[in-house]
Amino acid sequence: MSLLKILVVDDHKMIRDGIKSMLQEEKEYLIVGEASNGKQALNILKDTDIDVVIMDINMPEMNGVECTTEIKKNYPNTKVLALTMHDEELYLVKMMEAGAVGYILKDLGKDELLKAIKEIANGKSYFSPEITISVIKELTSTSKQSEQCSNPLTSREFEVLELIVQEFSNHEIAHKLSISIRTVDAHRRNLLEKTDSKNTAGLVKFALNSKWFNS
Amino acid sequence: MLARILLVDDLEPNLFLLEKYLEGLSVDVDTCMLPLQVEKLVTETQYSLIILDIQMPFLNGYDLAVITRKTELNKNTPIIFITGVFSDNESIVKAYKSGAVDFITKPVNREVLVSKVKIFMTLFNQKNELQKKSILLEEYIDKLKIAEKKRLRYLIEGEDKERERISRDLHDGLGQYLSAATLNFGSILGEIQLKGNRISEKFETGYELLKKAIEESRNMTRRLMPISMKDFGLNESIKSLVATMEKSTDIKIKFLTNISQKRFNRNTESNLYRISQECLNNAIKHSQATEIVLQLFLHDELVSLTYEDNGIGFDMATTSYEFDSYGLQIMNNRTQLMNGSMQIDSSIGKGTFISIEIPLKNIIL
Repeated sequence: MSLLKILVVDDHKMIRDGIKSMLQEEKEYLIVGEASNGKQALNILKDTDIDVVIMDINMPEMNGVECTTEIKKNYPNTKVLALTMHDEELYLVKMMEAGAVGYILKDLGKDELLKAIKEIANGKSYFSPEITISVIKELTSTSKQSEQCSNPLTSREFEVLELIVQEFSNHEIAHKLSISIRTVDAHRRNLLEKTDSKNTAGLVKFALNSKWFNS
Repeated sequence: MLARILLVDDLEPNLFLLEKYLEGLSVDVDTCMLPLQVEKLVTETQYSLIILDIQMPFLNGYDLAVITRKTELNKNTPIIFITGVFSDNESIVKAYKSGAVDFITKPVNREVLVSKVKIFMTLFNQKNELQKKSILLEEYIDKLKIAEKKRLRYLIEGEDKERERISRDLHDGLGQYLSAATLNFGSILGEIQLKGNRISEKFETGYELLKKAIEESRNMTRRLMPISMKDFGLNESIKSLVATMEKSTDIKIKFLTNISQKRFNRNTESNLYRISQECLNNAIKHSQATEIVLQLFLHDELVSLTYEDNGIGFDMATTSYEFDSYGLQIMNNRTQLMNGSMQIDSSIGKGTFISIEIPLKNIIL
């Protein structure tokens, strides 16, 4: 097996040194370059074949997300492994969307780093077990979901809608549910927004058409 | 301002005499001989004192007093009636009921008239002084309110800025050092573990502690202000907050919104984020809820942030309302800074609902 050529991109020299120190004794890996931002990394990629880029996310000049997008466009065979701190889930989502195939934490151990590089060099993806995949999944799914799926009603909104359908006034609804009129107003406003109705008639129509009321 | 007096009598000699008596007092005097014209006068001019003859044709003194009391300008103006010598108790009561405050009997004695008018003029001047002072006081209170709001703004915005700075420092500074340190130790961890002696044991403990330190600094960053807010805005930041909170509790937390990628100005985003955070923190500490829905909706003229849970709730009328009132106070202060209003609705066993409404003016980018 030929040597895996690696580029390390991070604006902190001590982090680059840390990664290098982990890989320097490994015979299969060769660090062929290092860069402190996305622009430098792209410059290196122009003249050098790189198999794996270990890429920080937040960097000056050009950040990891922009750089990954460029790499995917111009060097589709080069794999990007995102290098992240614990508190950067949102950025991580953007990295994955830009085309990174895995991510590792900045305080990872040597075994994990070797494993991650090996996996993604073999065309697989790698997700650091320490970071909560559930969180990432949640974020990626909801960011796509919220655009198409309308917002469901909450249980209180449902209660208020039921009473609106029964033609109770705001005042009566407030009394029945022992809440203030302003709270009823707040629910009503959200109901109008969520059901895309203009007025009470619209709300009633929505309610009658929806499956909850047909039971 | 000179006091203005209205004299009404249908007989010219009487009117002339009354006016003459008042000469020498520093007052302006309007005279009127036709009772039918009085309504126009009292509707258009504010008087400090009105002197009415009672017996007049068409409209008598009582009628004119009633008309005067109905006007905006003279509803509180003192009225003195000039009565005939024969005035009995019944007509005196009738006069008071129609709005009189004093009487002068005919024939009018100059000194009596002047003394009474002087008393009312003194009252008039005192009232003017009071009014001036009350206006000054109101202005002063308004200034205080503005100053207080400004102070609050400095305080809260200063706090947010400081939080952001510390968060940034933790992430870019300390965080990177700690990570680099673990990377370095991590690179020799394997070799040291092979030795399996006391040194390797200590090394591993140190290594683990270092990782804990990183975890701790991460939690601090998150509690302070998420570093992603500036780049991703409110929607993504609250989503991330909710996902993390959900991870650390058994509570099901839903976040519903229609703001999508919309950005608000920086302070508004910080305030709404911190209010959401405060709601959720309170809920985790006190509510015993199993489900929470946080909603951020953009309406035509306002942004609403609502929170509802199915927890134990609290009785708003009793002291339990004070529970963690510091958190509620923070939320309230931040709401006020955005010129918004906050409404809390809760009762024992019925969960809690919080609604915050912020006028859209000037907050959307």
